[in-house]
Amino acid sequence: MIDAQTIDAERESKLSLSRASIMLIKIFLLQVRQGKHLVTLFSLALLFLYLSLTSLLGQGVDKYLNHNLQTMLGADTQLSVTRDWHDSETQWVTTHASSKTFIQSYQVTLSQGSAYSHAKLKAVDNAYPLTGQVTISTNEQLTTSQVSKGPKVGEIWLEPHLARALDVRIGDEIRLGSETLVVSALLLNEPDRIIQGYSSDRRALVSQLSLVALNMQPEDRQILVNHHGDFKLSHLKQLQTASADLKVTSKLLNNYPMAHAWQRVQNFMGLISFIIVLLTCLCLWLSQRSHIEPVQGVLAVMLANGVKRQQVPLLVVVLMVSILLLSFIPALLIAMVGATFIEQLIQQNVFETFELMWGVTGIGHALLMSVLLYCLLTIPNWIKLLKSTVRDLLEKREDGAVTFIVSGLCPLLSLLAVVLLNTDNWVLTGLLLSGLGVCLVLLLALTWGILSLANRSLVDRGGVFAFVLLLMKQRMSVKIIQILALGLSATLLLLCLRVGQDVNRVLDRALFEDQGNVFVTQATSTQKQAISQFAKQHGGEVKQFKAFQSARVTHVNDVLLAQIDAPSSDSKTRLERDINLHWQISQPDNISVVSGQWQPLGEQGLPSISMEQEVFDELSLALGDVLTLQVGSQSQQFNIASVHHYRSGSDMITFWFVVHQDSVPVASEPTLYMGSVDLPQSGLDNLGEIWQAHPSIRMLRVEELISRVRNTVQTFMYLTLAYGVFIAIMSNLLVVASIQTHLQRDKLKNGLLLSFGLTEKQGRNMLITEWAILTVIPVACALASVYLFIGQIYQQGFGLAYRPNDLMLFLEAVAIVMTIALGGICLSRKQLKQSVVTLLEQRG
Amino acid sequence: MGVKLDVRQLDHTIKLVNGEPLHLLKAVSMSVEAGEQIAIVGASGSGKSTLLSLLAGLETLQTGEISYQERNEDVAEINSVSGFVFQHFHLLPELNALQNVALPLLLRGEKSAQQQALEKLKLVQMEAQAHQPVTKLSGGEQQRVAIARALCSEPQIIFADEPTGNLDKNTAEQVFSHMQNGARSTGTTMVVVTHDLNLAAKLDKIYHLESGELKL
Repeated sequence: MIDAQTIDAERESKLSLSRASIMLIKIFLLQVRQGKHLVTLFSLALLFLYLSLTSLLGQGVDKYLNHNLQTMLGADTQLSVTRDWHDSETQWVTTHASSKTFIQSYQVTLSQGSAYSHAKLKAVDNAYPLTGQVTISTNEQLTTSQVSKGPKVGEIWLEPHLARALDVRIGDEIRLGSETLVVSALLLNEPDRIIQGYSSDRRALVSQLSLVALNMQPEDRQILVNHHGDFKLSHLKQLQTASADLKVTSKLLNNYPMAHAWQRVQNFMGLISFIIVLLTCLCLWLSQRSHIEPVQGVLAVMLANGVKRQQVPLLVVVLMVSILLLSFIPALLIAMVGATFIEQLIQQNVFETFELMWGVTGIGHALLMSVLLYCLLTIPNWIKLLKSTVRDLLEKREDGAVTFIVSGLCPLLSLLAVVLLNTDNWVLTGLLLSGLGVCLVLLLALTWGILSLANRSLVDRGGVFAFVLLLMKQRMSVKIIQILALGLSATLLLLCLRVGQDVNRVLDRALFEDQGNVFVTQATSTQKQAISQFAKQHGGEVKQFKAFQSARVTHVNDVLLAQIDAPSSDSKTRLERDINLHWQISQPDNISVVSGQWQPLGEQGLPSISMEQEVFDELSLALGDVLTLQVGSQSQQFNIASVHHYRSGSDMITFWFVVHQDSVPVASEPTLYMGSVDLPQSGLDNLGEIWQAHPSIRMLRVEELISRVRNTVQTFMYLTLAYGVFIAIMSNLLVVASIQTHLQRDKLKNGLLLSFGLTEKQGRNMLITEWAILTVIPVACALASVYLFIGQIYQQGFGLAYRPNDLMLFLEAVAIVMTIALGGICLSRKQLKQSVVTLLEQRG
Repeated sequence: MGVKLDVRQLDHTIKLVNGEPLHLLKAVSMSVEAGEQIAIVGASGSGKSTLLSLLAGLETLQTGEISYQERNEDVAEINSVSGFVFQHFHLLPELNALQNVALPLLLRGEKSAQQQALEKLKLVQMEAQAHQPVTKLSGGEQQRVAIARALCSEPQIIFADEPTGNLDKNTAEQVFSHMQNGARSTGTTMVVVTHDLNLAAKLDKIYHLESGELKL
């Protein structure tokens, strides 16, 4: 039974709790205005902002990819060759296909009046499309409609930008060599589009029957196959083994081009994400003491002034909620505005159909993760606050053993939470954590070793240096936290700087400067002569032409390329298609040999081959390995004799594979040419003449080439920049946190030293010594762990070969040391300029 | 009317830095009548402050019993009827002098908290500095604000830990007389820990704490 007195007492208790809560929040806000808690609040806000943004964007990208994968595969398997089909292959298809369609692709030039355009022409049979529907539009407003058949004979479907380039409308006629085709629709998408990649090629779709009279040789031949229900992976493997040069793309193999590209982007973003979250954790960990102590003081005074002990847990919860709200609400608003801006940017530059996934789940996950990390990292101090007596809180007594253990356990738990909630690539995470683990061990060993050794050797010397070392040794339990945090963050920073720079290097390479303004990627001997004639006629100049033959790498040391023991990489993926095989007697000017010897003379055995360094590294090859190349119908083996890379200053055309002149060309196969031409404007304006005469020439203006990659490159650069901004902010915050952590504690020490008559110069020297030790040890350990693990991270995470740049790594490490040390010295010097009384005062 | 305080068989042990236990208080018993003002004196490290913290509920009781009675009725929560004056003031640096003094009243939801706080500041002659941030005040001024805060909620008992320990002789006398007069006028019980025997002599009783034992 509850009497009136009990109700009054309960009401009084509730009232008192609400008043105490309001008072606590008010004082907390005052503390924020005075500059306290800022590192914690900013760290939490940044973490939540970052997680919300990536959740909104990542879900959008996932949705986009899922949509593509589900609706745009077009078949269970695609088979692709650059030659005629073998009987065994068509037999295999007949056996294992429930339905199939044949596709041929041509590189052609289409024209209408004076307008012309190079295009990729896809010729399909009556069974096309196999799965899904083709999206077309029959009007200029691009109203979409779905059809289950390809174009009729005599009709052609153009992609809208190809139609614009040719200045044609639906119903107009265009010419392909001697054929006239009617544009009956605009091609928007085909179900098998993803297999061909989302390049900005100008594309067209036509019936195979429309091309019979032209007698053109297709560039590629594909068969799309849907399988029977009992089809197995082993059937595919059997086909791959039987036809080494056959490219097989299948749902069962999970080897779609987009899947590879996205995997690499995901790995990069995943790694940086992981690093950003870890940096935040370090910030929260470092700042927790300076964050909780002021609150602890307020609660202690409130307890001494009437607040009940049992109200404290609720007050702590109220305060934690306030802290989280204070950091999350602005972050959420910024995330929403930022995500909308990025959505528009991506829609304009990369994927038109990209959209953000506005959902509670993603934001909820970000919120949960942020709250979990905050709680895990601050819980030891909250527990301490709840368990301590008022007197302990007022006198700021040191942690007990249990709290100390919890303090160590909680960062480990939070790291575990980060790993479990934020990892989808265990190898990469494992490597990163191994790197951090090595750094941690080095830090502990080096700090203890240096301080102990220095103390022993300097024990009789005296002086500022010895005194600083003695103090640091005595306060090692406190200083070690600072050193550990700095070391781990320096490791992450160095790694980010390296990865960021290498990503930018790769991007920069895509925007190369050409010699000449027209780039010929493939021309026959006749076409080469026509181009030279055309250039001469218009007062232009042929810069260079280099011969090559199409070839395919089938085996490495007699092992099928698909089965070699090398991590997935761009090079490995690219080698699934034909490569350009070049031949030279002497070493070209534009390449330099980095290992081996350029086609050694007088050796017996296999002919030698030189490989481009990145491809060589990414395939994990060694000098002396044997490559089997298929040139047309002829298979030939080569011994890898040298590794080369591009040397700037000469012409820009280089090849991944260069063999001795005697080994190729294979007489039965056509010799093709790659080159560049510099044409005056009149020549550029009349390029259509060449294309009309030779529709299969692969040639494009350099401006067009660059504009194709510019948008993509710029988008990636924006992405790296955005990540860079996050990393920079987090690093700055971390530096502030690491300096701020013990600044307050150093106040008393500095006050005492000044009271002993320490001169300004001695004070300065002490600070320099202390900060030098505090920064050099962590950065040295960071350097060591980065040096040990970065190669593996590159290889496993990005399929890239890490090219060590020790000088740059060292300079970056020095820059980090200088930044942190100078920041620390400047802030600490402020203390030395204060009066001794001020430093020694224990106010509040 | 003040609180009557009864302490029976109080034992308290602390752990030293080297892990060794130190029996600080041994079977301490004492009785303080309502409105009485007593001093506890003893050497540094004798356990005076620990005893005071235990009496005020700031430290967890190990063994023994402390009871408080107000008009012959038990008081459940001592900190709801007590005021504490700390040696190091423990004022909140975020608040000004007036807000610090008003803190206990604000927590209890008193409507005229500011007005009452100003009255107490007048009592300790600090009304002129009412709106000053406490970080700008001298040690003596801060202690007077802390005393005003302890008196502000009209406590039934005041605990003071070396209330003049940081002050010069003249200021110490002034501050202490403010506190003592304030308590006398309301009949508030007062327990003061000090090592200043002159100051202790101004109180009703003096207890000596020596080797963990309390003697009158």
